[in-house]
Amino acid sequence: MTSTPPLLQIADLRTWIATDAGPVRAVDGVSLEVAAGEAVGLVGESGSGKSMLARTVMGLLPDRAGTSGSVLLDGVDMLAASEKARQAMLGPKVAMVFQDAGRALNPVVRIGRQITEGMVRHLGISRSEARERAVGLLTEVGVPDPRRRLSNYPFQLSGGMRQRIMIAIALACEPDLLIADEPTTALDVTVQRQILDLLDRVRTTRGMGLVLISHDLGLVAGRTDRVAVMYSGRMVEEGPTDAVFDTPRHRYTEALLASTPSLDTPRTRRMRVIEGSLPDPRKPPAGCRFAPRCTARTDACEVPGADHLRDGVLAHRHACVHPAVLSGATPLAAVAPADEPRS
Amino acid sequence: MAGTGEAHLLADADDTVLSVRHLHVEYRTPGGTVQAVSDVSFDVRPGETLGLVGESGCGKSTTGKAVLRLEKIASGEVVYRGQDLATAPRGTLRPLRRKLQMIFQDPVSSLNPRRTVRELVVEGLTIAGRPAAERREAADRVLTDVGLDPERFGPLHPRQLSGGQAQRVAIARALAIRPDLIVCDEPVSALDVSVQAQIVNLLRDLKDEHDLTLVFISHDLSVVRSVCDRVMVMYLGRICEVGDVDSVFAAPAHPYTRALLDSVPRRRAAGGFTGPALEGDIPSPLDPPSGCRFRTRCPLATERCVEEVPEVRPVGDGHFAACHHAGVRADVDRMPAAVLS
Repeated sequence: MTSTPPLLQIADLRTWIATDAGPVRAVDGVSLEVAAGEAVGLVGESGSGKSMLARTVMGLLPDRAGTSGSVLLDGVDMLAASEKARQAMLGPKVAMVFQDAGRALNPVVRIGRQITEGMVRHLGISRSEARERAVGLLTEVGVPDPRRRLSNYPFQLSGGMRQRIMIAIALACEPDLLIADEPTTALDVTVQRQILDLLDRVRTTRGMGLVLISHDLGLVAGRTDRVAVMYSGRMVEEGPTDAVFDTPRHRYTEALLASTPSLDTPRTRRMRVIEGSLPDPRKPPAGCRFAPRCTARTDACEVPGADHLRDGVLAHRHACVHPAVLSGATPLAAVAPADEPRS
Repeated sequence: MAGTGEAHLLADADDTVLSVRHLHVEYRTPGGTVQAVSDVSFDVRPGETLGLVGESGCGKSTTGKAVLRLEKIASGEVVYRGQDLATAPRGTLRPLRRKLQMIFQDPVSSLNPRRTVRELVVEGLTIAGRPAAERREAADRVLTDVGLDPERFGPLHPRQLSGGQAQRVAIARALAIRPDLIVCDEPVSALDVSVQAQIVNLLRDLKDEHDLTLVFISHDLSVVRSVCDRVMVMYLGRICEVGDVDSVFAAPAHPYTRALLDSVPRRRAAGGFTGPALEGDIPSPLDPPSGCRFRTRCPLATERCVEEVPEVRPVGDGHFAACHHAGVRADVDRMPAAVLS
């Protein structure tokens, strides 16, 4: 990190949701920094806490949620700020793109109004000026015939077009940071590709920071500078994207990569699996939360605090008691299962 | 993308479990008739796993459902072991249907929420009027087969199951009536990566143990490559390419297959992708392009593609494509502009 403070600085964040059976610890002591203009991937499976982390930053938590720790965005603590101060940050400082653009857009309001609304409120410009800007934004995100689109309703557009509109809305107030939560999961692969290219382009041209949240490791790999891996509310590994994917240290990251089918790995008879399932988020294991499913587990993994982040080379940190060894072996070797390679 | 032609079909129907010929499925909508599946022909061979891939609207799920007559067939044949299901009367269809099962993407919503796991897995036997003792024994057997302890999971209801467990129940239910062929429609798409691998391995094991033939419908090319023996690529209701997984993935002959593969994010490619992006959106199925349906987005399209529906023709050993320019690399051999005029 440089001496200038990072754009986003999350420190020891905890987010929990009260339920009848006790609090669900959705995010449980996570720290993460994003520098201006940087692209950071946040990966994990369902229940890892990656989306709750994003929602905490945006203040989009359900009523029964509680938080502790701090979320500094450009120096303002989003958890402690007044509602008015927080609202003023949403749009010009940080904006979010959701997975399901069909549901995130208001179905009974024309596209034009949905794009201009935030600009009129946050930038203090007139509605006609905002409309002109909206045309420019739609052009930027690759929506053909933008002027006509302004009078469309969301249902008149394809999924890919709706996601482009969502991105245009997010970009409208020129945010310093864009959080994209599974922005392409509902889309077909060729459309996903177009949207990822678009996010890359706007990030580079605007010098905007990006948090790309996805369950798809391959998707994050080609698109981010750094990546953080979450499991059961905890961060298990974090570092430069290439380092994390080429030489994963945490056993969970390693196993997740190995069980993800890829076009680049040899075809195998059997896919490697991670046995078992996620721990109950109301009663997570005391030490490493992955320990019950881990093949390298020892008693040391069950000691409370065993899963603190350990510093590694080149800012590659991991929370594993028994990290995968950094050998000269290619990561592909870890992918081939022990049993019966495909004939 | 036309997908007429029969070069890829086996001459002898005895060599197939299922022979689909000139299948057409149509939906009537207020805007007109959608040709969801247009003149699709293919074979499914005994013991193989055939992948059906393509994006939304390509007709892969409709094709899978039509095979089981869960969709109304407008025309064409679906011959299962010598019998045409497309024209079979209800009475003959019923026993045949037991041999053909389907599992769906969303396992929890495909299971009746009011029944227990034990009741669910033998529902087919209950309908067939099998005695209680036989049902009990079958439930124990199939639950064990899919890796669920019958004592522990038998009394549970679907909402008490994780996605992976629910998909195991759906598979157990399909197995209970001893099927011959299972159509799996996006069976792992709703599951997390670590669970996805468990279900894929389970399907593979069960296929071997029970001599099953699988039709595996998926949008996920990496999963299809890992699971299937052969693959058929569809676009806007027609076949683009069909062949052995190794050949199709190593040397895609159809420009659409190539675009699909180039759209899969790759860890080791600069910028995450290996080729140029496909432009534009899929055309409306109400008014599909003439000739080759992919031509409006195809970098190789020529006048011929507008006028003539390409036939499926051989492009390699066990590898077929429906493209007038099959085998031409879009990035190296782009057609000169003169050809387009």
